[in-house]
Amino acid sequence: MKHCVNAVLAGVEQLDADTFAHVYRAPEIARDARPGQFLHIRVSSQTTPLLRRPISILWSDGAVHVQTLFKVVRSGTALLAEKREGGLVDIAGPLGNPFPAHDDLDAVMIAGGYGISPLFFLGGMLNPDDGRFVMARPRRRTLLYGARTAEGLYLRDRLADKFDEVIYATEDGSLGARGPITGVLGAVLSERSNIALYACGPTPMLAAIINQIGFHKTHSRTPCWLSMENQMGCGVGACLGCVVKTRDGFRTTCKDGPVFAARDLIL
Amino acid sequence: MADLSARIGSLCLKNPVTVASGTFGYGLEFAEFYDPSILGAIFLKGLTLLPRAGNEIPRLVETPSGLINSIGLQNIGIDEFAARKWRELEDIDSAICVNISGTTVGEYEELADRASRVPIVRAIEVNVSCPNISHGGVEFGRTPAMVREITAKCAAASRVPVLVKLTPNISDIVEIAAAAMEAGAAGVTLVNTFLAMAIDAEKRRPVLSNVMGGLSGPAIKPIALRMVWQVWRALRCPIIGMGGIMTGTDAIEFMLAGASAISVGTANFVNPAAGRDILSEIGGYCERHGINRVSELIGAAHHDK
Repeated sequence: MKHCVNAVLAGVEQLDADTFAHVYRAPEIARDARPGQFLHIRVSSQTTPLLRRPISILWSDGAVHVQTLFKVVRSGTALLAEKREGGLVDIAGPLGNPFPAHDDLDAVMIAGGYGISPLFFLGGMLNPDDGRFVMARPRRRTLLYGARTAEGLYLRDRLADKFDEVIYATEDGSLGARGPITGVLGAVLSERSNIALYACGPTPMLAAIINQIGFHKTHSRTPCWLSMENQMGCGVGACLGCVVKTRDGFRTTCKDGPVFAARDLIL
Repeated sequence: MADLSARIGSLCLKNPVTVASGTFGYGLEFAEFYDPSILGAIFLKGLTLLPRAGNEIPRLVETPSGLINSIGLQNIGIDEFAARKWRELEDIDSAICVNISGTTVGEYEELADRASRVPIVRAIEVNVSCPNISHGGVEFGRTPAMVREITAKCAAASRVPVLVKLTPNISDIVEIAAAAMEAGAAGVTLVNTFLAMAIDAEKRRPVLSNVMGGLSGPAIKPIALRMVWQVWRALRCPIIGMGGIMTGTDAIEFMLAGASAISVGTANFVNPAAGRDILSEIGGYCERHGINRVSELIGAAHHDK
């Protein structure tokens, strides 16, 4: 069920110069939120900027609080970053389709930068010891996490209980393997079978993942779910402003996505 | 509680709050936020004879108090609507209105005929004002002669009342509205979006893939309001007023200018329950001002009334 509520901003954490984590008290939304879904947040009570901003859900306690992680990109997210603890924020959600879960396959999650957000949530929901509702029980949860520099790898101190193993890559080599995270993915795909892939990050990273799967014929049937980011209008599939190209024509990121099967996407 | 019923020619609505074509999907997209049956009417996403893929992205760009869109009439086509889609809307107790766009006069006629045969459809809205398609659309809405011809053909072909949605991208809205009314329209919808564009200074390129699009939102409200005022003053015809309505007060202003009903468009994106909230604010206004029938407000701001 979708809700539009005035939620109390119960916590603000600044992770770096332009990256923030928010905690909202929004029981209606927290109860229903699933990894991959997003909140549509009104950043101003004025009419500029006019549209809401779609922000991926980082975590939900399933009862009261829902958390987000976001980066200040332009004026809209800058206004969101100015919100102070204790204030009210107009939030619609949870919107969009969550990641599907595969019980019998090892989960390999690939994150780029603040794309960690829905995968952090997913990692927790795949943990039989952690979740109050568990989506599935894969034998192993692996996170491949890449960014340009180590500073772009968020929440590193909080990943231990969400993932069984974490492999980092940075383009400058400041942490983990040097180069794009999709380089690490290549090795994982060569070594492992019976896996399901889940990814969120910049579109070039997602396109590279689709390419990688194409190279590995043994993974032609491996489920691969990609969470897309897009500018949105309505958030519910009405305005058709946020479409992505798929093998089935244009599909909305907000309602048909934001999670798409890799084989359907044309990036 | 005031009588909120509204009339657009022979089309009777339970209240004057409608939602605009292109902003409310196929009627159910906002149903988890509020029951669409409370609305006076729902104008569905514009239909064409064949399904349309729509334009490339970017399709949206925000501007001060506004939004420019160039969706390009992405839609499922009349066949899919008439065969299956309409059944999803059977339980909605609101006047379902189908918005149609053609590339020839003959296509408009065929669409009016076929859409009006769908059991749930209470009115046809003839879109002669879409700025985002390469053939037809707004080109049909720019001359009185063309509007007259299309309206007459659609009115003859349709089994339900025909409304004509006009473009503001013309020099004289009154003569276009007059042509639609003379040709048999039950009323006119004023106004569609204003042709506009945005340029990205960093990239030195237009923002929208289609270069130009239609501007909506609070930015256009004063101009839309002026056009409703002019048409009412000259023609005293049924008008569905729209353009940047965000609140009940905005809606009341359009009624005072001459609108018999109003349409909520871009506000649906800002507040998913905008239709419900605006309806409730109109009720509150009537109560505060001792208005027994909301129709008393129509055109009430004109000095000579």
